[in-house]
Amino acid sequence: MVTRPFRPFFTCFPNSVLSVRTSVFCLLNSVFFLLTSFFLLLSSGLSCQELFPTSEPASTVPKGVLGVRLFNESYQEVSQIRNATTLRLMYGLFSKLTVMANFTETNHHSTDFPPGLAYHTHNGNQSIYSTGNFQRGLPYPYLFSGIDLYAKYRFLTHDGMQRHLRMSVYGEWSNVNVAHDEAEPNLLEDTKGYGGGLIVTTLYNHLAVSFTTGFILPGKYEGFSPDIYGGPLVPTDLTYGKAWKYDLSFGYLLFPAHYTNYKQANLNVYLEFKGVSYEEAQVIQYGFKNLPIHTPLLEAGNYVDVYPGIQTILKSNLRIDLSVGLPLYNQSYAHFYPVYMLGIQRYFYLKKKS
Amino acid sequence: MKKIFFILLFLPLAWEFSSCCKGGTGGKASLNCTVFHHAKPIPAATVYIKYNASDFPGVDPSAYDSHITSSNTSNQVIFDNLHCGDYYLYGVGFDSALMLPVTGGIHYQIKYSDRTHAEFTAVPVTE
Repeated sequence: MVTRPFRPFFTCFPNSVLSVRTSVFCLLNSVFFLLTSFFLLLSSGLSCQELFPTSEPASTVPKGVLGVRLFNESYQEVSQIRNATTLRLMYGLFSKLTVMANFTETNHHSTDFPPGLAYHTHNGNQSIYSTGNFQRGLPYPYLFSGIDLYAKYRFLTHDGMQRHLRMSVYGEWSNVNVAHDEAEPNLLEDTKGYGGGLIVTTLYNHLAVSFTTGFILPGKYEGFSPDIYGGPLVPTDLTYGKAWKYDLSFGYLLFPAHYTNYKQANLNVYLEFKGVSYEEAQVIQYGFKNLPIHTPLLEAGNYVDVYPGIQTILKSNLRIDLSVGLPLYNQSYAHFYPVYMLGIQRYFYLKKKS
Repeated sequence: MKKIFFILLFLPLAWEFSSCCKGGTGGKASLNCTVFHHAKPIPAATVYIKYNASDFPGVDPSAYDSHITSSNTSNQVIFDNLHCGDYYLYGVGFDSALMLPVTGGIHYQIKYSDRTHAEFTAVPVTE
């Protein structure tokens, strides 16, 4: 198992152990940590925005408005750069109901499980079944992972002058079908299934705070594993762990301090905490052999990542955001660190103004 | 634009649910199965088939719809006249090298585009 521990900036400089490339990644991490710290100091008495780069706010898309968002998540897994690119279409079906369709392509996984994930060996007449720490960083092709459909209904709205409190419930369905090989589910990129939850967002002057909590009930992936004795591929079903997620997001409007017109560019900074707790996965081969779990990748786990981010909004419509995910408490085995996210979004007003 | 959005949104769902085939007999496809323990074909193995199933029905033979046993000279069993759809195959044999019974199941789907084809699959088994 290869992990990429976070280093303080003063240990980042190139030396006999660290290559120049690793140093650059390391320094970028440190810069974002400094940005995070600066943000925390700053946000104590100022105000902000709620178009979070990685989380959905409780607010909904206005009726008849189509939003198009393209975003990419990247991280380095050993020597491979993993990418997940998503096209999101958002539509305000009613003033309180937003529907979304996400189409994702990734190179996270193949259609079969990697060698070493699930196997058995013979010792005389005895068979030993196991799951192991398989090799990470294998090259995989870009695959269309599937479609994720999402609906959000805003049921509470308290609006005031430069402040509001909104609450929404959401539901999600995904048919994503790739050979995801970790217990942690992810309906957008890696696992099929259902999800749902609650979003609470409040805005006060320039500061927005949002809390999202929800569940994920993932489906299983019916795939194949290589046979270590050279036989045909072994049917392998991997049922991912049920998960509970809890995200806390802060957003702050840096510029402009006061609007003079709506064409002014916005500059927002964000700090998002994304937590997940998930159950152990279940691996079944040959239809009935329940394999013991001997790898942390398939064990139950929980972690919190932090995503500091920056965003600009041009002409009150075109939104560009960049954020970086770093481990704060434990770590995810479903991705390596740092996770770079880049997104671009625009709204199209389909209903003609009368 | 609104119509295009709805088409984009619901087309995948329609596609997901429209290509339904129900596994069973009365069709023109066939399924040729060979039972393998690792790389070794197992002669005289029995393959049980459950129509329209994708999950393991269990080890009880009565849970399956049909079964065929291969001869000592041929390792293949052939299920004929199948529709496109889902099937669960369960192989039972004996590995004479290990002197152990071997069993195992696999889900197989005959796609709509293969509804008139002869399909081949291995049925991997284990001790």
